Amino acid sequence: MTPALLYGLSGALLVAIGLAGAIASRSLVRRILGFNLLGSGAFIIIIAFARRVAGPVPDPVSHALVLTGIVVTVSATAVALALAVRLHDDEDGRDE
Amino acid sequence: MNGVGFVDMLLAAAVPALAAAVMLYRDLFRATVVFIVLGLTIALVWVRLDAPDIALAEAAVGAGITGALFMRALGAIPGPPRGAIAVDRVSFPWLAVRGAAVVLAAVAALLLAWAVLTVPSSEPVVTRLVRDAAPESGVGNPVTAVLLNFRGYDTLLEVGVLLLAALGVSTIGADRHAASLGGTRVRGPVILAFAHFMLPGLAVVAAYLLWIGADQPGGAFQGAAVLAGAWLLSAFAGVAADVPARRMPVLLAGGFLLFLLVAAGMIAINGGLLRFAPATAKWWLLLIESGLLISCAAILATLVFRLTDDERPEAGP
Repeated sequence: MTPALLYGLSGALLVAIGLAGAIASRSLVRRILGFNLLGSGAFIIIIAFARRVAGPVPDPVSHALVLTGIVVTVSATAVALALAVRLHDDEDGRDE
Repeated sequence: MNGVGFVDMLLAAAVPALAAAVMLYRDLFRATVVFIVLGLTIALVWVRLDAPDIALAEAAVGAGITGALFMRALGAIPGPPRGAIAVDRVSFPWLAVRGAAVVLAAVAALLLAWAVLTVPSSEPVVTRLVRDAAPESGVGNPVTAVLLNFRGYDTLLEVGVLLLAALGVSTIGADRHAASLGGTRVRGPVILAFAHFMLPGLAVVAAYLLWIGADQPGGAFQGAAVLAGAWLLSAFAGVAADVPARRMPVLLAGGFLLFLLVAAGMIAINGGLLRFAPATAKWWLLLIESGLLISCAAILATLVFRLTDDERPEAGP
């Protein structure tokens, strides 16, 4: 058992928890939280893969990929949250 | 990195445990706080996996900016009052959906665990290609070399995605009136003193991350997240310089346009999109990153500010 393997398994669990939460939650905000957990789990698995080779430098391509992924995730999260807030506002307006 | 240490076991166990807490806490505010703690824990995981660039990005963007986004969204969505669940939600077969979700998640976890356990431990070809070409990239940090030189195309489009998100959030979020960046004030002497104390330091840290990113962990996006944090802090303290609305598009899109201009200019100079000559690459990359630092900071701050209006009509005393 190497640390990369251990973290890879931890990432797999994170994906599962995020996936279950994103599907089964009633709250839109919690679904977006689940979507973020799912993404983080995938990133951990990718970097664990990059670290499986015992060398001085891990694969920089995977690292650049995950860096891009983190920035794209925050963009998607912002748009999703804006939609959730707007949906809530519009539903409120209809009820009143 | 050698064997599995106590810290590794602690972190590997803490990540799924915190994630479960994020999903299971009834109170969304608590869930969001735990989510931010999880982000910082994952930043430590990145350090243990020899990925310091990602650790910086995770702490600043993943935990910091994303956490701020969720906090701001929760301020606008004050949670359903008790017992006020809509009728269609009661009749919806939640039990069946939850059961199916758990089964699906279990299958996904098993497949991913199988993939993690059986992946071959040979070095990918692309790792060697990057190592061989690294001296020609103009920067010493291989991750920065991949991001801005070898795969600059990806990063160009990534900035495009950020810009689109800022546009989308501005369109969806603030429909009543355009909220300026100075709209949100937190009153009290503590935040004012804290802002005066922190802001110069944060600006220096952002510039340092950009400069050091050429050879050490760091880079434009990490610096931009720190700068965006400084911008948010100054706005909450009420000391932010008010950017006129007509200047904001220049600030938001400037980095992307500069990147695009340099990318196209390389066709004329070196005969290929984003093809840099080894001798001058360092300075072109620095120019691109400087533009990205300012623009991405403005975009990240805009995402947080424009997510919701500050003067909410329904928010009475």
